[in-house]
Order: sequence, then structure tokens, then C-alpha cells
Amino acid sequence: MENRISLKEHLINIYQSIKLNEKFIFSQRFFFFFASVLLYFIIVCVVNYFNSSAERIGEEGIFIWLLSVPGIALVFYPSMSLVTSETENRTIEMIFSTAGSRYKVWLARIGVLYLFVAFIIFILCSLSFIFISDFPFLGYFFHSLFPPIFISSLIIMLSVIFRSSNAAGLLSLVVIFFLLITYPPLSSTSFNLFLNPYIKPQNIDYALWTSVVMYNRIGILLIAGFMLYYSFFRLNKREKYI
Amino acid sequence: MGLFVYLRLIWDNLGGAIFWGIIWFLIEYMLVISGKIKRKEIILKDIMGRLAGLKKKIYTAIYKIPIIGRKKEQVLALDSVSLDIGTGMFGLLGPNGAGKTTLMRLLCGILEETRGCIFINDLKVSQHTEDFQSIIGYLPQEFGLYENMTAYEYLYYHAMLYGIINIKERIEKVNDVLKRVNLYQRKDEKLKNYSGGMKQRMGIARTLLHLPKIVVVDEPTAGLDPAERIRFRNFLGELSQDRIVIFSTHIVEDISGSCNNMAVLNNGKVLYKGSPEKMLEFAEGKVWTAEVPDDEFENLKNRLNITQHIRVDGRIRIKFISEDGGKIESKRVKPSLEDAYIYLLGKS
Repeated sequence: MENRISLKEHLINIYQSIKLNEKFIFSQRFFFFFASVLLYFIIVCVVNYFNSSAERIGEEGIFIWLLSVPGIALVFYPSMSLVTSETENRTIEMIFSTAGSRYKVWLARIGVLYLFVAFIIFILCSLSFIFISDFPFLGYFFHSLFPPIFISSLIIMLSVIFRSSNAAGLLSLVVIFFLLITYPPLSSTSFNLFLNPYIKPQNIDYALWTSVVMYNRIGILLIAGFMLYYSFFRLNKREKYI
Repeated sequence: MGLFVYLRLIWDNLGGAIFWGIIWFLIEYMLVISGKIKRKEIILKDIMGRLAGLKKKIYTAIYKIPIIGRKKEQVLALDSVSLDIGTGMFGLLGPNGAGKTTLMRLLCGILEETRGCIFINDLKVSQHTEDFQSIIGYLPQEFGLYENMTAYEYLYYHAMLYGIINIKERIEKVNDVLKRVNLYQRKDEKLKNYSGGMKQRMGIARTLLHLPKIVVVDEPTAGLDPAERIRFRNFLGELSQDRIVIFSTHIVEDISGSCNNMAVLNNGKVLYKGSPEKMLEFAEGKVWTAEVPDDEFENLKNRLNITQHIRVDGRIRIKFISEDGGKIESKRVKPSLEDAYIYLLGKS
């Protein structure tokens, strides 16, 4: 048969791939993931509404607690089980025996996971914009994707190293906790995972702040990329996973 | 001590120094004990002497810690295996732990050989793993399915993984293999509702999606009821008409009923390669039958290699393998493939 396919077929393939991969990523419970994030958002909004104006959530709070943290919560479980569920379900040997599928299976799933997370963060961003406060909408949406991407890569790497989703989850929680408690002293440095580029400290000039933000973003992407690469590299030692 | 002083200096905090000193001591202690267990090859359950119970618990706990504790010992899974496999059905027979699965994983490029080579049409598998994987369909011994998917979705997903990008072609292939394994009528049912045999057929359907030249199936009949087993065996027979089908089993009947070529593996070594008929010659003249009373049977059980026993008219009719008839009143019988297999295993 002719191997060339039309653009329409490409698009259908992408759509079907997203649809099928979604079944693996969220174990067919995407609705529950979505609903729980919405519920969290509503609770924060209600608490915020009854708080005094001094205690109300500000732009910084929106960035961390209403966008980044729900994003991390969303990627947590799917990243934990991305590789280990295949081992537990004894499907990994089939994946290893399929030509070229070792990387493309997981890369496709990671891609689809990020797509769904971006979609949900977009919705949360819109709701925050409408109900809570004015902020640079697209900028907040874009920058709040960095923490979930970093944490997701970290969890995937840990789950591949320890071959246990629970160990990966537990260690990642420790890392997230560490990152949250080190947030105040590191808030205006490029080592801050939750760096909000729109809140510039007063004692830093604009050019320096731009370079801090740039190094932070490049650093996060490079480390996340390295962690994913290392995970796939380790998956080459197939005898450990079957 | 040096560490303690150092910590005391950098922290200026006695409590912190003691805490980290204890942690350091524990790590050192664990390393020493784990080294001792490995060096002296201590068998944990045999620890004796003073405080044996406590020692056993501590040693076992340290032994279980990853990295510093237990290290997997290397096992020689396959040793001097040399086989030449052509078109048709090839059976790999051997007891559990014989090395059948390792051999199959090597064939499919899942594992890499530490020594030796596997060639397909004069090309090394290890050097062209990806290329060969596209012409090999592999069904592992214990495999899972994505149970929340329907049969159709499952195959459709795998067709995508196999790189069948043309939608029409993909649909045709999925429907075609579903018909071949007689599951087309139930294609929209979730896989969790399928029986063991149906799941096995689903697994083979997946391997057929990309029309492989070589089909490798690892103990596909284990756990199936007799009717399903025969059906599945016949199905593999059909497949082997225009391709190589390599299937492993520890059930002799599966080989005798379907293979024209076979090999017997035990402890990683090939004990026999050739046709099933030829294998019978090994046990020719060495299979005997006799009828013995109950008390004598108890004695013979330990002395002879009894392959069958059945109670007949108050006595026990036994079938056994022996070079000299077991020095009892017995008569020679024609050997079966199972007798020949047991004879070979016994000899090794």
C-alpha cells in the first residue's frame, strides 16, 4: 500500500494517538483528575473570598498555588506510573520487542500528558483571570508550565532508577517539599523552581532580572530534558525491567 | 573521630555533630557487615552462637538494603547453544529454568548476548536489532494486556506502534487479524472480560499485525484448557506454513502434535536437536512396563525412573525407564516422546 499519507490523515493519526494515550496516562480517569483540580480551585477561591483584603491571594499566590501546584498535582500520578505500570502489568516486554517503540511509546505519552496539563492550566488561568485578579494571562499560562514539566521529569527519572512508583512518589514529595521551603530565600534567584518573572524584586535592575529569568528557564528545561534522557538511557538495560 | 571533630567545627553544634556522627557510624557498620556477608559467604539462616537471633535480624535487614546489600549473582543461562532454525514450526522443549525464555528474548533483541552471536540470514541480530524486530513477532510467556481497552482499540494502538500510518491499511489489518484469531465478533468487548485462551489469542493477534517472518511464542499453551491448547497449537501450525514459528513449552504433547523440528534444553545446554521422531530412538529399548504389588512399588519408587503408574486389579502397573529392565519381571514397550524426553533429562 502507498506509504504516503495526506495532511488530513496525519491530523487524524495525531488525534487518535492522543485519544489512545490518554487512556494509559490517566487510566481512563481524566474526568476525576480534572474535577479534583477544579474542586481545589473552588476551595481556594472560596477561602480567598472570605479572607480579609490583606490576606487575599495575590499575583504571586495565583502563580504558585492556583497554577503551578495544581499542575504538579496533575502530573504526579501519571509520571509515577508511566514506566512502572508497564512493568506491573507485564506489558513492558511487548514494548521492548516492538521495533523503535522504546522511546516513542513513552515520549508520546509524556507529550500527551503535557498537552492535557497545559489544557487544564489554561482553564485555571482563565478562571483566575476572570474571578480573582488581573495578570498577564498568556505569560502566566506559559511560565506556570515549567514547574510541572520539571517535576514530571524528576518523577519519571526516579521511577526508572528505583523501578518503583511508590519510591519515586515519596522521594519526589521530599524534593517538592524542599523546593517549597527553600522558596523564600531563593525567590529572586535563578535556582527558584517557582520563579514568577512578572514579580521583579525592587533591588534588582531589569537587565539582571531578565538574565535571572532566562537562566532559570533554560536551566529548568535543560535539567528536565537531561532527566528524561537519562530515564530513556537507563531503560536500555532492559533485563532490569522485565 | 576526625569526622566528629570536623562536624563540631563546621557546625559549632554538639547535638548536630552527635547526630551526624551516629548516622556516619551506622553507614560504616552496614558497609562492614554487608562486606562480611559477601566475603565469608554467610548463610543468614544458619547464623549460630551468642545473640544469634539479633544478629540474624540485623544481617538480614542489611542484606536487603539495595546497592550495599544483596547483589544479583550472574547465572550462565545458555551455554554453547548452537541451533539452525528454518521455515516451519520449531519447538523448544525443556523444564522450567532451562533457558528457553532467555533464548527467545535474545532472538527478539530484548536481551543482548554476553558471548556468541545470533544470525538471521547471515546478519547479526545484536547489530540490527531494530531492523529484525520489525520482522519478528514476539509473544512473551507472561504478558498483560491493557485491560481497560477493547480488543479493537488494543490492536489499533499496537498497529500505530508498528508504524502502520495509513488509516485504511491499519483498519484492514486490525480487522484481518481479529478474524484470524476468531475474535472479530467480540472486538468491542473490554479485554478484562476475556478468558485466558482469548487473551492468548489476542496476544498472538498483536504479533501478527506487522506480518512478521518469524513468530516467537514463549510457552503459549501454559494455563490453557485442553481444547484451547489444541486450537492454539493448530493455529500456530497454520502460521508456520509460510514463516518460522518458534515456540517453547515444557509440555511434550505440544511438540509431538505440531513440530517437525525441535530442540531439548536443560540447564542452558542443548541436549537434543532434530525431529521428534528421531528423538524417540534415544529411548528405544529402555522403556519397560511391569505390574507390582503395593509394597514393592514403594521400594521401586526410589530405585527406578517411573514415568507412569496406574492401579489395575489390586496391583500397580508401572512404566519406567531403565537400561536393564530394573531387575524385575518386566517387558519392553515402545517409547513415547515423553519417555525420550525424560530419558534425555535423566542422562544430563
